[in-house]
Parts: sequence; structure tokens; C-alpha cells
Amino acid sequence: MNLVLLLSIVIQFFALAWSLVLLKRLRDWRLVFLTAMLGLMLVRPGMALFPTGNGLAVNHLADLPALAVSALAAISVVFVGQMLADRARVGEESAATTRPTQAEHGLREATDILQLIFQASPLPLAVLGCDQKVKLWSPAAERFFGWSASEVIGQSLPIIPEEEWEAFQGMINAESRGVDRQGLELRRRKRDGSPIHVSLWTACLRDAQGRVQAILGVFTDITERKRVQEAAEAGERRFRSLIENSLDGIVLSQPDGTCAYVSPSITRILGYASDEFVGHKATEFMHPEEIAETLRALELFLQTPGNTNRLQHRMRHKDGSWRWMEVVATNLLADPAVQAIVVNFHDITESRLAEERLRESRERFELAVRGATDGVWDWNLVTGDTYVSDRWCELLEYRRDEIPDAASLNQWVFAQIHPDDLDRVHDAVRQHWVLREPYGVEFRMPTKSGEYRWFYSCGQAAWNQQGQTVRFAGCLTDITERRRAEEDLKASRTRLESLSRQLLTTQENERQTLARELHDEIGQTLTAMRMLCETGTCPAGPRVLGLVTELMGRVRNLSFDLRPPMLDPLGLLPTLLWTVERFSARTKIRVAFRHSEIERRFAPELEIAVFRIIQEALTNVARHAGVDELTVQLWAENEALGIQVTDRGKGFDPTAVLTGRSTGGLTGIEERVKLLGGELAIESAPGQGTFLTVQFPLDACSKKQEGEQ
Amino acid sequence: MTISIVLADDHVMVREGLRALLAAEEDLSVVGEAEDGLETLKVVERLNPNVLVLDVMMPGLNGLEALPTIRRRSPNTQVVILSMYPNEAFVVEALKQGALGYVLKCCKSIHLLKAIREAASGRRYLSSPMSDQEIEVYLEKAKSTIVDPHDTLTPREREVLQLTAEGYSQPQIATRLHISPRTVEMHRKNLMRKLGFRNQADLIRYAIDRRILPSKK
Repeated sequence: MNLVLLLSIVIQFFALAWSLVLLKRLRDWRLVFLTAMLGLMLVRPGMALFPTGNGLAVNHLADLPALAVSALAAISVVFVGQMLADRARVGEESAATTRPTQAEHGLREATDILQLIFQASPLPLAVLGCDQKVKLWSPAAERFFGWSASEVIGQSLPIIPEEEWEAFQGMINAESRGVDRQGLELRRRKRDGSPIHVSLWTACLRDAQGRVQAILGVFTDITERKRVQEAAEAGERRFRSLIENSLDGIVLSQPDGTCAYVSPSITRILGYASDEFVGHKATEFMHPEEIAETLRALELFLQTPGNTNRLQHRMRHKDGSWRWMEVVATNLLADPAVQAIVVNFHDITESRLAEERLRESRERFELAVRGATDGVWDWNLVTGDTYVSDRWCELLEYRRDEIPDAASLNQWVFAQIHPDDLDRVHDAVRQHWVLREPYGVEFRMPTKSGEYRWFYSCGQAAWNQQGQTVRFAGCLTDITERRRAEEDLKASRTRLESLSRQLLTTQENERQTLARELHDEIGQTLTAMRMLCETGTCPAGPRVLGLVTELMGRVRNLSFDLRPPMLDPLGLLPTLLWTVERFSARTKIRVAFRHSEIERRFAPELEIAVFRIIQEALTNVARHAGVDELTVQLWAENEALGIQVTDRGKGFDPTAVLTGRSTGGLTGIEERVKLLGGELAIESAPGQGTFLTVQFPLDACSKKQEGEQ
Repeated sequence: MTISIVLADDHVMVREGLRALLAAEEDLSVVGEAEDGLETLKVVERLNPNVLVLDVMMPGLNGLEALPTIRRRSPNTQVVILSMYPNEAFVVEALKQGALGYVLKCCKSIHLLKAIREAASGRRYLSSPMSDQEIEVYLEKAKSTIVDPHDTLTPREREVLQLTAEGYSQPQIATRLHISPRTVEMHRKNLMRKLGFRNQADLIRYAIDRRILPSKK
């Protein structure tokens, strides 16, 4: 065999091998067959072109062209084959995409539907990857939460409020381990920050191996529902609280009287714990006297659904005492929500007691009013009504039907008050209402006959928290007689005073007249007589002279005693100096006379009073004290003139003398002092001497300048 | 020279007596008479006598009251007061008002004659028992002495003052002195008035000044 032949066999084998490779690649038998055939065929023609003599054997160079041709044919076949294979492969690939398999088609449809569902779902949907970043964000989620898909995808969930973050973390961790949530209620927030309540349903999205790849979350907005729920809960709490904190006790009882429920106030009201009451009949705690009546009422009561009954009976407190209860029962057996008798009860022991006392006091008041001789009036400022007692009407000589009614009575009364007294009454009322000074005022009102009588009204107001007067009540008394008596008394006192003054004045005048008469008339006559005697016309001259002189002396003394001559022309000081000297000379009692600021003149009645007082005081000392010296002090300042006569003699009890109404100097002094508005003080005790002090007020007009005419 | 005299006295008898008395004197001549103060004024003004014998006590305007006017209107007329009252006060007053003579009616008539003659000569004459000496004595007595208000306090008032200054309350004082609280109040009021206190502070100050309160040692 020669080389060329070998080469051609190799090439043919190579071509065959290549076609086998292509066969595998192509998977199309037709193409492969074709290629093989072509190869084989081409070898033959090659050989045919360049025939050599012995068939397939190539023996020398003359066969080389035949080899070349067959080689070329083989390569072209390969080439073509390669080309066809490539084309087949591409076709296969494109066939893979342009002609999917049935499974692939089904998958595609399903995915499309899911996508639609996802987009169209009215509930917000979100898918979180295991990295807790958002993978999918449905349009509903966009609308609901406010973030758009582009804003959230690839980020962590923005809807978690700060305070929920930790809880969320925990939740996610659990879910990634495969825990699904069903209707979990959570607090989340919207983009604008507003909080919302959502109900979350989650599902884990697993891969073919069951590993959790992502978590699907479905949200429903339960904010509204939550709100309603909370409101309802709050409402229920409130009612419960009301029931439990109510001052009234509430019992739900069965028709036979057994207690099914009792509010906690039972403890406060009757001292029992709830469980001591529940399951028992109320009659077990009721006072025996009221059980029968209560049971009777209960029977009637049960017959009418919706009926309300009100009773009062006694219940035994845990401590054993009986307490009065007011019980209101409503028959709600027919109400499906209740199905019991609802009993409200509260303790009225105190108020029953108060009512008793009120009744008593009202009776007492009525009796008092009826029995009183005073009229009673009662003005309720809140309602505007005024009540007056029967006696009040009597005082004004009206019958009850002749006076206006309660609403207009007050106005009528004020209109009745005498116009001159009206202001005073208003003032008195105001003083009482505003300044809280006691109310008592006298005023005139006409009786039915038109005669004005004097009344005294006294009363007391009651005020509310704001200090406004709400009630004003009091008594009315007829004081006409009393006023008359008072006026008479005043008049008689004035008359007495004036009489007293008159008496003293008259006394003084008489004395003055007498003194002057004595001194001037009689004295002068005697003087004349003496003069005549001196001129010698009278025979018994010397003896008559003696008698006349003596008489003159007596007359003078008498006159001077009656009234000192220098009192009127010269005033107090000369008079007193002279009086004191005469007194000393006559009684041998030494007088220390100290004076200050009395050189001036005073009002005549004051001068006389001072003189007489001192005269009297001196006389008293001489008569009773048993001393041989005394002190007279007299002083005048701007406002007062003071006299003091002091001795250290026997003393006496001044009160006994003054009140003994004995005639005598002291009462005279007292009277004079009082008439001129002065003050007298006598300090004396048996064995302790006597201090007599008088003080007269001096007003500017009582000063009299010397020399004024 | 005859001394013209007007007699003023409200008693007819006295005037008659005086007239008779004076008629006996040669140098004295009564030129007019008056019965009361006002008439005296008129008569003196009209007649302008040397001497007026004036009774102190006359109805209407009495002698002493008329005296200043008489002296003013008729300065040439000297006045001799004729009076029943031997009282220095009258003399002092009369002399103060311008009279030159003061004679008591009860005295012997020679005193009056003397007084008239002296007065006409412008000299003073006082009939005994009055004299300048007596007048001096009187003026002394009439002088205002200081009446120490403290002296006017009664013993009780002094006690109340002391106890009040020491700080005792009225009820306490009442118990101590065995008198009622009202009496204490009265004494307190009186002593406050006598001593011119307006308030407690005045009282304390006074007590300290007067050493009623012992000073703290």
C-alpha cells in the first residue's frame, strides 16, 4: 500500500469520526446520514476522477490528484457538516425559545396571573426577602402606606414605628424560621407619620428545597375597627366603673329573690362582702316588720315586665344595726341582655333621721309662730316669695286674704313703710346683708285703718357660697306703745332736768334777790340810820349806833352767805378767796387753797356751780369730817375746769350717801355737776379721808373775757 | 375852792344821808345825783364834777362796770368808791379801773370826807380796814399757784397709776385692789384726764419721769 492510500483512509476515517461527533450534536439523523453519504460519495467520484486502476488502492503519485480530490471532498463535507451542525444548534436554541414546551407555557401563564393578582389586590401586599429588604410592594401598599414601590424596594420596611422596631425584629426572625402569622394586630405608620392599626397575615415563600426565600405579608386596615373596639371597651369599662363606684348599690336578682350579682358598694353600705350576699335571698337580711310587705310588692311587681317599684325597708348591717334602705327595682327579666330584676338601693337612714328632725323642728316652729306675739316673716330671695305668719297680718290689722300673695308681698311691704323711714330700713338691710351687722330697725307702717304705727323688725339672713343673700327671715313687733312710753320717759326726763335747772336757777335768783334786798335795802337803811345817828340828831345815839352796827353786821353776813357779792362783778377767784377766808375764820379750819389759771371769767352758770359746790363741800367737811385743815384745789385748762376738795378726816361711804337719796349737799353737788355735763368722783372710806373731784368741760364759748359788756 | 361832787347810789336814804353829811362841809358841794349806772354816766358827763362818789352795787350797770367808761369820758372826775364790801378784791378792781378812793359805807363818815378831799387832790385813800398792805397780801394770794395735777390725784388713782405703769391689766388691778374692773376703768379714765394722758405711752413716760416706776437696775 502506498502513502496516498493511507492518507485517504485516514481522511475518510477522520470524516466519519467528525460526522459522529456531529451526529451527537445535531441530533438530527437525516443530516448526519446525508453528511456520511456525501462523504462516501465524494470519495468515489474523486477516485473516479482520477482512476487508478485497482479500485480503492492508490499506489503511486499518479493517484495524488485523486487523493487530493477525495481529501478536498472530505473536508468540504466536514465543512458543510460543520456548517449544518452550527445551524442546527442555533436552530435548536431558538427553537428552545420560540417554541417552549408545554410546562414552560403553563408556568408562564401562572406567573402572569399571580402578577395580576398582586397588582390588583385591594389589600396591601409586601414581600420581604431574608435580608429584610422589601422585594415586592403592591400598588395597594403604595396607596395605603404612602410609599411608592421605587422608594421601598430594596430598603427595609418604612412602616415600622420606632417603638415597634424591636418587636418587628423578633417577628421577622421567627418568620424566617417558618412561623406564619394569622391576623396579627400591629401598630404601624403611614408615610405622613399617622399611626395605623393593621392586621397582618404572613406566609413564607419557600424554594423547591423548602427553604424560606421570602415572606409575604398581607395587611388589612383595622384602625377603624380598633377604634370602635376600644370605644366599646371603654364604654364597658365606664359602665362597670359606674356600677362599682356608684354610691347606690346595684343588685341583679332572680325572680325568687336570690341575688345573682351585687356591686361592690354593698360593702360600704351594709358591710358585707359581695360573696356573702350573692346566692342569698334579700329577705334574709330584711327587717321582719317589712318582709311581708316587700314580698307582696314583689309578687305584684313580677307580673309586669319593665315595671319599676320603689320601697323603703330596713336591712341588717353586718355590724348588727338596722339601716333604712330605699330600694328601686326594675323588672328586666324579659330583656335578653339582662334577664334579671335590677335593684338599686341606697342608705337613707341619715335622711330619714333628718326628715324626722325637720318634721319636729317644723312643728316646733309652727307652735312658736302661732304662740308668738310677734309676727314672723320669711323672704326667700331665690324664689321671690315671702311668707308672713297670721300674727304678722294681725299686727297690721289685715286678714290673710287682704294682703298680696307670696310673690308680690315683699314689694307691697316696702311700699307700706313710711317714706321718712324707708332709707333707714334700706340701710339697715344693706348693713346686714353686706357687712353682716345684726339686723334690727324701727319704722312706721300703716295698719289697715291707715293709722301709722311703729314697728321693730329684726331678723337674720342666710347666704350662699358666693355670699349672696338667699333667705331673710325675722320677727315684727309693734312698738308703738313702747315708743310712746320712751318718748314720755324722755320728755319727763327732760322736764325733770329742766325743772331741776329751773329750781337751781330760781334758788339762785331768790338768793340773789334776798341777798341784795338784805344787803341793799335793809343794810342801806341801817347805814342811813347810822349816819343819822352820827350826825347827832338822834337822842339815844351811841346805843342805837351800837345796835345798828351789830344789825348791819348780821345782815351783811346773812346776805353774804346767801350770795357772795363779788361773784357777779368779779368772778370766781375773788369770791373763793373770800369764801375760804370767811370759812376759816368761822370754823377755825385751815384751808390750803391752790388754784391755777382761774383769774378769768367763766360762764355765769359755771361760776355759780363751782362756787356752790365748793361752798357745799366746805360745809360738809366742817360738819362731818372732824378735821382742822383741808385742801381746795382749782384748776382750769383749755378743755376742763377741775375742782378738788380733800380732807383727811373721818370719811364716809359715798355710795350709801348718794343712793340713799338723802337730802343734802352731795346730791345737790351731783345735780349741779350733771346739769352742766361734768363728772363727779368721790373717793372716801370710813377712816380714810375724803377726795371730792369735779370736772367740768370748757368749750370756747363758755369763756368770757373780763371787761366784756 | 369848792369841790363839786356827784352822788351815785341807788338808795334814796343813803343819798339823803350823804347829802346831809356833805352839806355840813363847807368846801364840799353836791352838784348832782344819780340812781343807776347809766344815769351816773350822763350826769357826770354833763356836770363834770371834781369827784364822783360811786356806789359799787347799783342796778343796771353797776359801779364797777361803769367805772372804766366814766374815767374815759370824764377824766377830770375822780372817783371815790363807796361800798358795803370790805373786800380787797373790790378794792383791787376799783383801783385798777381808775378809782382813787375806796370807802366802806359802814365806816365813820370822816373817812368818806377824807377820801373825797384826797381824791380831789389826786391822791389815793383807802378807808380801814383796807390798806396798801392788805392789798399786797391779797394780790399775793390771788396769784396763780401751780396746781400740780399729780396732787389732784386721789389715793386710789395713784394706786391705779402705779399698777398700770407696772404693766398690770385692769382685771389684775381690780383683784389686787379688791374693787370691780369697772371702778378700775373709771379711776384710770379720771387719772388719764387729770394728768392729760392720751394713751398708755404717755402714762408710762410720766411714770418714769416721776420715778413712780423703779428704773431697771
